[in-house]
Amino acid sequence: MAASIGNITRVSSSLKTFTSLQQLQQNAIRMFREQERISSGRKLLSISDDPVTAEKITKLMQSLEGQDQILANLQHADSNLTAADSALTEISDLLIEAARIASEQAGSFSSADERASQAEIVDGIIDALMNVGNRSFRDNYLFGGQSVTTAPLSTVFGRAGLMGDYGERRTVVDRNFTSSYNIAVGEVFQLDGDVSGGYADWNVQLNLNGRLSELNGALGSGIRLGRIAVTIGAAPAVELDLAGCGTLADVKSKFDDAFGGSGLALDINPADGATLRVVNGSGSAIQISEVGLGTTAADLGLRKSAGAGVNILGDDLNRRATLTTKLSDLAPGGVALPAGVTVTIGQVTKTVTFTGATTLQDVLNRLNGTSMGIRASINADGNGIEIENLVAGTAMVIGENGGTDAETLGIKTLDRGVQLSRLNGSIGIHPVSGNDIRITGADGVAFEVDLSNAKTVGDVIDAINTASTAAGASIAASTNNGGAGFRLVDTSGGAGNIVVEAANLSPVAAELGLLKTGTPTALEGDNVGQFYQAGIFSALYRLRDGLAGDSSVEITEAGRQINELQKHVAAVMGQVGARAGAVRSRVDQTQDAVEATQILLSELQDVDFTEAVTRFQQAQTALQASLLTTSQTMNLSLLNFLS
Amino acid sequence: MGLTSALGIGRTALAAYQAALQVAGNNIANVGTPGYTRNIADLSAIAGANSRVGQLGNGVYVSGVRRSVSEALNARLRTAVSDQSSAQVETGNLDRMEGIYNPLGNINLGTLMADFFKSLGDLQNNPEDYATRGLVINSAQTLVHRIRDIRGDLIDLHDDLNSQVETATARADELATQIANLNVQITTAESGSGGQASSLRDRRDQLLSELSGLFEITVREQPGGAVNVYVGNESLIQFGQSFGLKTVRELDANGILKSVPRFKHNNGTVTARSGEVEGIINARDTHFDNQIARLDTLASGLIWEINTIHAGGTGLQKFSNITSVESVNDPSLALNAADNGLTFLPKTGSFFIDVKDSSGSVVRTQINVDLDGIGTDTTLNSLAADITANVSGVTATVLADGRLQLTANAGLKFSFADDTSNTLAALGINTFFTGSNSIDIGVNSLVASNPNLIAAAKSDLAGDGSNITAMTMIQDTGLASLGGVSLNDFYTSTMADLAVQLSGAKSAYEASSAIFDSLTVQRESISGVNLDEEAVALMQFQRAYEGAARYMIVVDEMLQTLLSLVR
Repeated sequence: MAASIGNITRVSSSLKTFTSLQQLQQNAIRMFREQERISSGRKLLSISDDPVTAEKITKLMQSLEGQDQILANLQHADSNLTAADSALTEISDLLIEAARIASEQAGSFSSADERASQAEIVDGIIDALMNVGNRSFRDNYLFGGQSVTTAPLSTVFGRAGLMGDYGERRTVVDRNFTSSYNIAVGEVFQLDGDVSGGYADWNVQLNLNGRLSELNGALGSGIRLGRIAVTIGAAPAVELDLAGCGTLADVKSKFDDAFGGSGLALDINPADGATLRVVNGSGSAIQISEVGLGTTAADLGLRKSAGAGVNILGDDLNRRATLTTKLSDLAPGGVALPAGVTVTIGQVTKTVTFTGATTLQDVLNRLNGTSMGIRASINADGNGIEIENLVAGTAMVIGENGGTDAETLGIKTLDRGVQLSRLNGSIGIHPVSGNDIRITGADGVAFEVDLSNAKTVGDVIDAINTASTAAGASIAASTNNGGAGFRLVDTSGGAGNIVVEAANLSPVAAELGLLKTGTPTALEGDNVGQFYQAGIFSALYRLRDGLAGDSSVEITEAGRQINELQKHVAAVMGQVGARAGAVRSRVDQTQDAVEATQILLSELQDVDFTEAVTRFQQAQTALQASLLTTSQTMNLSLLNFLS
Repeated sequence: MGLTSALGIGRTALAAYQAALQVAGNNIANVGTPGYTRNIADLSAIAGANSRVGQLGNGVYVSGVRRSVSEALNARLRTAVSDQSSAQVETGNLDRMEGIYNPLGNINLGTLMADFFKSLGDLQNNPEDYATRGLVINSAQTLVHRIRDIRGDLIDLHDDLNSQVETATARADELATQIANLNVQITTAESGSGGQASSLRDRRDQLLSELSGLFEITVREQPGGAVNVYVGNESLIQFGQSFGLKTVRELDANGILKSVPRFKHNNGTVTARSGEVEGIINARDTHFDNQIARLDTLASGLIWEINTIHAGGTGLQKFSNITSVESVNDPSLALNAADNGLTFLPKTGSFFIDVKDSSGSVVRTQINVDLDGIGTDTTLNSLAADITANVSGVTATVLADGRLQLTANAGLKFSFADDTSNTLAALGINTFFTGSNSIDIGVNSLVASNPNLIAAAKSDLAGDGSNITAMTMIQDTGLASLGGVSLNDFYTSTMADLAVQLSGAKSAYEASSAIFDSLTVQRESISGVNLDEEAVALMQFQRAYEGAARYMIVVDEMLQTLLSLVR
């Protein structure tokens, strides 16, 4: 910036020197800066040149880095989904081949030899499917879930065994938004089609040391911590902030600290163990309400009032079971597991005992530690244990080991809650019009049962017991201790044997495993409720076994299942394709965004060379002019004219 | 008037114009002398005696040699010098801060942060991959080193600023002594001659100008020619005495040594309102402190936010034993007690310890932490006791130095999950970073030496990168530890802050330079030597001298004529 000359009256020699130097310096600096801009290609040499633009540049650079990462994530997801899509096409082709075999061999024209040879082809299809299921992509098992370093399928008891999990692999595909890019082998082959167990509806008891996050809350929305207001008598409401509490003990501690002096105390209602209670020793009416739009009091089930001397009794907080839930909290008074259970896979049976187990995780560890090809976990609702049969085409039965532990845990394979359609390897039962079974007790009293409306095992048991009572018989039905069959017990004291026969030519007695003669006191039904893994491998084993055993019924059923599974695979392919499409669309969008950001960044950051060169030339011209004028003015002096 | 008297008139003229020529010659000689003030010879007619025809003059004499100076302008110039020096030094030091951060460079703190989060992003996609884990460690170490380097460079700058304060103050002290001495010389010189001691005054003006570049000063000229100089409201120079300036090093509230100027005679505080010292102090106490504070906040936020997530996750390998990085002063005090030695404080909540046996079975135990200030709060001792009592196969021990050690029985391994209390992060257990701010930020040596301990997962599965995903998100998520802004935004605002300060300082420098230049022009217009002017004066005085000489010849001839009458 040139010095302001203002209204000066004379120009001294040093002033000429000063202004000349100023001009030379300024022009030199200007030229140097332009030179720097041209050589660096950047518009800004310092953030102070234009703080606003500098901030924009920093933000855009951050944005670009983020977009680059998202692009890398999307490309990673895309490559995985593309690989999955390719594998799914192979699976689909193999299933088409299996379906063709089932279709061709289901008719009665094929000989046993022909079917046997086709069984070998099915074996090959199973092997091929296992290979695809264990496909590796970039050193990871493509369908391994989150267990990417363990083959998701292996041979267990001679059959395909599921080793993989259902874990999602997610990646950030947008700012603070993630998306799953994998599909687990269980989903691909529909091995997750069904689980056993989960039949006990636990009434999990509250525990002061349990996390508040385990509670569904009285409104079913969890516990949203905030402030509550407590009114005692006519005194103004006092607010209590419960934010930061981690357990019910923390809530109790804060509540008692705030209102203990007024005679109030918070505890777990001993009457049910599932609700909170405010013990009112204040001698006045009390009320608990929300503060503002809060929901804490309602979530805790305590948005209530009570008269003097009356306690506030909260609503059920619906605690979910977790790994750390103690067995003593599973039900009022706790549960005892003194006998253990039996686990049978195929022909192998193991006994699992729960001695020393104190938590649900101990129970799960015992079950999962059997190496029997089962996987036990807590269900999503947190109110039961579900059991997966990991071995395809192989029956699984969990029964009692002389006690009722399986029933207590809700994992007995044939339970009241089991759908009848699952029986007999998912063939179910086929009631006829009218009565289906005829039962004769040891005392000779006979009755018939109509099961045409029965949907579940419980319906069957109830129908038999109702008919028995109505007929004056002493027969009581239940599931047997083995875990997969029914049991009839006769308490009449009669001398005859319990006999079950088909009525109206109905196949149901046989389908329920009861078409037999028992003893005077009991009839143990055959196993009809074994649990089979759902999905492609079980269907293919069924087809293979049907072909090898020359069973048209089994081949037909297997063919039906394979046809259904083809639809499933097609649906999975559709999902994968849709996800891949969405990912590619995001890739395109992100690439566009990257390009737009780069353009914007370039506009802000990069120098306009034409402009810069022009400015450089201007600076150069100005410097030349300065040099010239300085040279001229410094040479002029009156002294030159003195003689 | 007689002819003898007439000769006297010529003599006075010769003497006067000789003196005037000397003044002009001296001006010409000092045309390039910095701070030189042009002298003007004041010529006055010598009053003559009254005569019948009126008063006839007795010639001419140099009534005085006057400095062409405006003291008011000089005072304004000194203020301008102070302001310009202040702005210049502030700009220079802010420039150095920008250089330290190098925000427009290809590699800077922002890009290194982005690289770190990018490596986390890659790990999210390949959590089982050892090489990718190694890259996370590398990028984290590069980031950590850069943060520490920036702090180191800023501290070097701070030390340099202290040195600058000391050097500038020492120079100011020296100048004050010289000015006080000149006061004495000027007074002595002027009291003897009755005129101005121009060269001494010029020298003093120069020193005052230099002093005003260091401190804003107020100058009051006293009768006799001495000046009193004030810094702020305090007197620095009284006639021939300088009270002197010195620097002392004092610890500020943050425990950082700072050099501050003081008066020597009473150790009084020097209030520097402008000038180089004020610029240095402003750069140090405002801009430096601000940048260090922001760097510390950024580093602290990065450490805490990453660690709180990391501590609740699990790596590809579990621990057979681990010792906390942080220690408490008193293990019997609540963990969140203010004076218990933890930089980051835990809160009420809980965490899980998962113990895995050789068969792969896992037993999870919930450890509650109660820090609500009601009843008995969790201490390190109670935490250790709780873990030992409830976590089967793990023993927790409080070491003599206040750290917590967890050891698993043979054949067992343990890991941590879902810490809502932040206790693990606060104690430095299963953490990624160590340290509390930019001074001591580091990558946990356990993780650095074994990348498989990077807690990428929330589960026990190799392909689970969910914990890393949570970490990648903090770069763009508002964080409580950063006052609700994200790491990226905090960095951006730090650079924007620096840009605005630097831009402001540059503007102030340009404005003060413009004022300084303008005043310099005015001063030079008044006090500067113009060679042409002096040449004209030379000619004028030369001609006058020649005239006087001619006049004396005429008088001499007249005398000769008169004397010839006598013969």
